[in-house]
Amino acid sequence: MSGELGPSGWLQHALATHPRQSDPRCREEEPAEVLPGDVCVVGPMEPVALAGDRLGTIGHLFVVVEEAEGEGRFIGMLATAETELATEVDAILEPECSGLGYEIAVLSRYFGHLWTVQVRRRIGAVEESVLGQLDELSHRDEPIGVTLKRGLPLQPEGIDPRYPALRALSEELDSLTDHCRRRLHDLVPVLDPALAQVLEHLLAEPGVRDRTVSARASVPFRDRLLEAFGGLTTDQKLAALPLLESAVLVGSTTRAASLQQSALEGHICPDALARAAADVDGTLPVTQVLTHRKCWRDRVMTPVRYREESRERVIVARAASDVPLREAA
Amino acid sequence: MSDEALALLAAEAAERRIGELWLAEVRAACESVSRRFDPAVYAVVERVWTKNELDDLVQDVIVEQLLRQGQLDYILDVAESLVDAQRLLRLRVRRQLVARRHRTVIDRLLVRIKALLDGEHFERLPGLEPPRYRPRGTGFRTVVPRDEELGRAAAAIRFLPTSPASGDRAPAVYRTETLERAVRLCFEASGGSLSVGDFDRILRLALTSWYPVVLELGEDRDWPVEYGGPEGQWEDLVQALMSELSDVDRAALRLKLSGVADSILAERLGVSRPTAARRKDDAFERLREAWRSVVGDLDADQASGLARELYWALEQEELE
Repeated sequence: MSGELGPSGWLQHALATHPRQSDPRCREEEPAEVLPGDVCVVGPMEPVALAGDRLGTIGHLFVVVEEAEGEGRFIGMLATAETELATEVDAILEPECSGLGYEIAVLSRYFGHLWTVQVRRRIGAVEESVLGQLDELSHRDEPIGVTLKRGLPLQPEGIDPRYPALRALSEELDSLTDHCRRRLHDLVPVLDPALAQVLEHLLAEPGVRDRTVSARASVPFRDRLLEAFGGLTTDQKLAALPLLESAVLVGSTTRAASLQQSALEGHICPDALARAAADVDGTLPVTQVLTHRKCWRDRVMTPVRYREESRERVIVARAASDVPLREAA
Repeated sequence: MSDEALALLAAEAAERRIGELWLAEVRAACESVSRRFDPAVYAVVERVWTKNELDDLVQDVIVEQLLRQGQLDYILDVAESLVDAQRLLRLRVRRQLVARRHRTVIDRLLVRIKALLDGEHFERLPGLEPPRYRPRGTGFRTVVPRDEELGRAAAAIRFLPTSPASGDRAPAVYRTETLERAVRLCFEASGGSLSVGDFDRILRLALTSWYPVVLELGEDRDWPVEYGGPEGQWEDLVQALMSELSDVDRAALRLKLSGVADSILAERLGVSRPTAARRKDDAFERLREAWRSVVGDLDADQASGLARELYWALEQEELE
């Protein structure tokens, strides 16, 4: 080859013949939220030790198949660039289908729960119709209406050489999803301190008690609630009693707020919200804030990703009543 | 992407894709990996890894792996450090070396298949270009086969027994009589006429699943496609296993091992799909029982060898 085109001619020719295929519009580093169809690079919650004191830091590809809105987590389907591992229930996606620069095999039976903070970057996206076909492949041995290219049928163990590689992928999936899977139901929301300033609106809406009963109060919330409580009507006081009960049990805060107030732009008291977020127990990488549209000047925040004590966290907003945040905002 | 050296590689890739930095990394990976691969088998012209051979390998890796297959983007997508990128690059070099042998094997098989197709047992369909063939005296369709039909053909032949390792550059893979069976199986599984190009695609598919094994094992052992073990070693056990299975069991196992769906199995057995699914489960269960009682404990290599011989016996029975 070098003889035909000279020392650099072959490279120029190769670059001209194989233009870049990836779509840069899909790319986003450390996104604070993902959507169904996104193709992401995901890492473990904790670094994985390899032989020779090395850490395994190579990311894994996932297709987001379902997002748990307001919980900072999603269900992802494992994908791999080793397309020969695809079986008859796995789809092989061409670059034009995913926005990536290379083919991937999406392993439809390899899926699990992941935290959004595990996403290092979003690199591509598939259309809804592709997601539907992946879903079909994931639960039917003879899927209907699937036009995506698929892999070769998996044969019994012993005669199909792909088992060791597939088993290794299965172990990687387990280790990547284990943290989120174990803590799925441990998420306790924190009350937005500004709720205390909009009580007359909040208490008039349905579902407040159900949504706030297990939420965590903070010192900023307690202080504001005690200040506002005297101005409420008798009925409002009765309705606010559960909030008061949880507020009076709050201990003093020792953590410094690491969330930048600029990230909470539009909130009516961002410093108090930042301190309340710091007050949350840090075992989960998600802080879910129960808030109200009146706590925000124009629009309610979108999820924010930030670093706290060398760990990454996502703060997400959720309605403190049955009235959706976006509806009234 | 926190690693500074990786950030420089990413910047170069963003500006002109492959520049001096990437060339240096690819060359280093080629030098490191090629040492473990026998140049008599994996080099292009010479029998030692010379500078020219390395230059060729660097070009192959860049053109085929990094650019055509888009693996430059993949590496930059998933690597977090220079060490990650180097590990992934070394994997691409290994894959390129394996692909060289893979390609040579397929090219040689295609020459032999073409000779078979031009022989007395097959006929060339008139007026079609590129030439298409079918077994003489059959009414196989003349239309170009669909992807799934080629996939079925690949599934049908990929566990046929292969020649033992001989250490040469491109092993024969199939003995002559096995290759004839492979060609016939391809026609039957695809249900249509085939061109040499179709056989090329079938063989590529059929041999694709060797990659993980080759990459897993490295070069410490013989090429994995060349299954070892003396022929006929399992004959008695295979016969004993076959005798434990009914005709329906054997048909169900053969079809499922060829990768057909339950609905096609139902069609072939002349039963409903749920019944076919039940027959399939029963057949696998009876095979498991027979295996336990007839065969007993085997190590993984032995079990793998016996499983292949059993599959081969099921296919042979169908052809006879």
